[in-house]
Amino acid sequence: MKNEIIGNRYRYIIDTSYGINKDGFIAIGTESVVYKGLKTELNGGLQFSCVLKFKPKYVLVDGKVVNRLEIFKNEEWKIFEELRECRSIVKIEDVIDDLGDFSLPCDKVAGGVINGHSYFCVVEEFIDGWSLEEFCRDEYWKLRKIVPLDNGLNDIVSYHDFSSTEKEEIHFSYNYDNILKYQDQILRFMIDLCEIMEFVTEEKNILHLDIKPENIMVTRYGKELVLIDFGRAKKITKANRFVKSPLSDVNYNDNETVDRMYQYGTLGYAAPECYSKAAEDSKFPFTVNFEQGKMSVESDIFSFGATFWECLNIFELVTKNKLFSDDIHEFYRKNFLNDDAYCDRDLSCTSAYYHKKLEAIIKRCTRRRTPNYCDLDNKDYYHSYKDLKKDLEDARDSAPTIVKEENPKVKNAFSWCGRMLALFSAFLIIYFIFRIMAFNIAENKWEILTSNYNETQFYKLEEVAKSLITTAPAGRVDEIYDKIADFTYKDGYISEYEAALLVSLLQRINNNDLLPERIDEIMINADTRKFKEISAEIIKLEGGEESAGYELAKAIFNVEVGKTDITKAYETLMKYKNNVELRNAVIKLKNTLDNDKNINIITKETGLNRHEIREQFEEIAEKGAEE
Amino acid sequence: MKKLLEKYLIVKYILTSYAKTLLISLAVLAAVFAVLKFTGWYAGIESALDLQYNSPLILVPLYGFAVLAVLCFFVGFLIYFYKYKRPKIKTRFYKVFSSILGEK
Repeated sequence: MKNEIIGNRYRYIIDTSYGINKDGFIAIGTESVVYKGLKTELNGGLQFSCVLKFKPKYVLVDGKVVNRLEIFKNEEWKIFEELRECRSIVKIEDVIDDLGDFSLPCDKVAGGVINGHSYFCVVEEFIDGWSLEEFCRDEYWKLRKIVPLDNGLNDIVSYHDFSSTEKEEIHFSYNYDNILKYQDQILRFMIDLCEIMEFVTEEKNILHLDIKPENIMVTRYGKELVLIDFGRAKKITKANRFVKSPLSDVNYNDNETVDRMYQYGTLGYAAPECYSKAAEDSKFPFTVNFEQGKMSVESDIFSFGATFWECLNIFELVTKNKLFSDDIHEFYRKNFLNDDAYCDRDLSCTSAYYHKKLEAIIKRCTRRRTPNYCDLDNKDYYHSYKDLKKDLEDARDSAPTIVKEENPKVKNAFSWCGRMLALFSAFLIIYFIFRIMAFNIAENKWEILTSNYNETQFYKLEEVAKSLITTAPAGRVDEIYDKIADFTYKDGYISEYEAALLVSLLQRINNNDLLPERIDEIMINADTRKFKEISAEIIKLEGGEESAGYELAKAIFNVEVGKTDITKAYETLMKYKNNVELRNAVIKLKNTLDNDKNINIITKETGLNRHEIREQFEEIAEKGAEE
Repeated sequence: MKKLLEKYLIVKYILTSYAKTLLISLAVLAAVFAVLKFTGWYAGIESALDLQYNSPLILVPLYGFAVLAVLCFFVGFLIYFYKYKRPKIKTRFYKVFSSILGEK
């Protein structure tokens, strides 16, 4: 009895430094026992890691003996060879039909020993990492741990055997940040697997038909996915995208056995159409409104959805159900073999932090079958990995990111903020350019306007004049006012509108030194027919009270509009009766006061008699006539 | 500077889009102004639109963009601090699966 296998180029031994029990054991499947091996070239040299998959040469399927080695060589190996160019699919390095006198005690197989009599060996490349299931449960959420024992071996402790402190820690870690990180990782895995499956199905026309977390490896370094176990894979063609399940009818009342499986693939992940027809009096677990045994790309997509549904629910599945921790297959068999639990899976029992688009994808992948579910026009189902990948990328871009700043919505909002600021700055620059250029522009407009001015353009003149005064450099304001005033005085007496314009300019200039003089100017040039209105404008000016023009304007306004301060107005008239420049205003005031009612008031308040007052009025009128 | 921007991504987003947009908008405005000036249409447009520093054509966009910038900044921070939660609906699957999870 030897402990080594001789291949074509290498000799292989079991790596007894690997595994919980240091026996090199990795896993056991329905049709193989997997060990970690070490290979050395026949003529010596370095040792490299590999995987040794021991498969029985003959298996019992549906009560018939099947030559597994022959099937492997004719089908599975050919599929592997076709997929060799894809680095995300595990590679077969060698197939050893004759194990010679190799013998390996193994309590997990019938007979307790693996030897050349019953088994052949498939040598695969070793993927250093975890299965997707291990990654999610053990590596990410730490829901299972390996504890070293005194005898040098290890023991696996699952969540339900953790201490309460450990459980608290685990639940504490199930928070927003960690869930977002996990979602990001799962979305990356989903997109990666989609790309792998796109290559397998759409380029190579192969259906995997056994997608599940155990058959997806995650590399330790780089977290890349590698798809393994093509034991159920089938070739399809572009024209015929379906393959019929080779399984015969099963009795669902009987327990599932290795040689009589309920489904083609794995229970819990295989699509409803992969389940065998119900035999005898047993009941098919799902509503039959689809063609049973007709497997297609939609079946793989269902398994894809079921796989990642499990990944996204792993925390609840492990922490809230002991059976799942102990025996996943039994958990699915006991709870999931009905329409409501098996199809239309969603994330309603797991964290609300997972994105709704991700949930929609899972739901669409695992959608309940309808008679036309394979119809390519039926958009309720995914029919290609291209569409699935597109939705996954959309979900990835919509989901909140771990680093909040990397959230596309945050990025967009702040980018738009930058754009708006830039446009604000551009208009600010334009504003300042116009502000600097405003005086020149206004002067230019003034020249154009005054060169060909008529009275209908007054509104424009007012606007330009105001803008000239507002934008004029501090040292030139008075000069500009004089220019505007001269223009208005140029063609004779000014109207009430022109007076209002000049008053508003004077209010803007606010120069108290020159104000009295300018008020006088307005009163000198005022249209005699519009004294009332012009006076009303002038009295709006504050600080001009000292000027003769202002006093006369106020007196005229008070007598004519307010009918008050008659005596005061008479006193103002007497004060300025000899003022030659303001003669028009003086005469206007005299005329305003010259009536019986006003004279009576003046006589009453000053003690003068009517005759004296009349004489004064006549004297003023004469002076006016003389001038 | 580059390291600093990498550290403060939000500042980077604002500054990069600010610089790009400012350059593009100024270039466009300069080009439009140059064309209008060259063709002699500018004076007519300036007079017709009464273009000056305090005309609505300048002030409305000026204040408008300032308000929008503040709004975008505010919205950005709201999203930044927002914790996403998917609306939960009690589906048929929920009823079945929650009872399965209840069986400890």
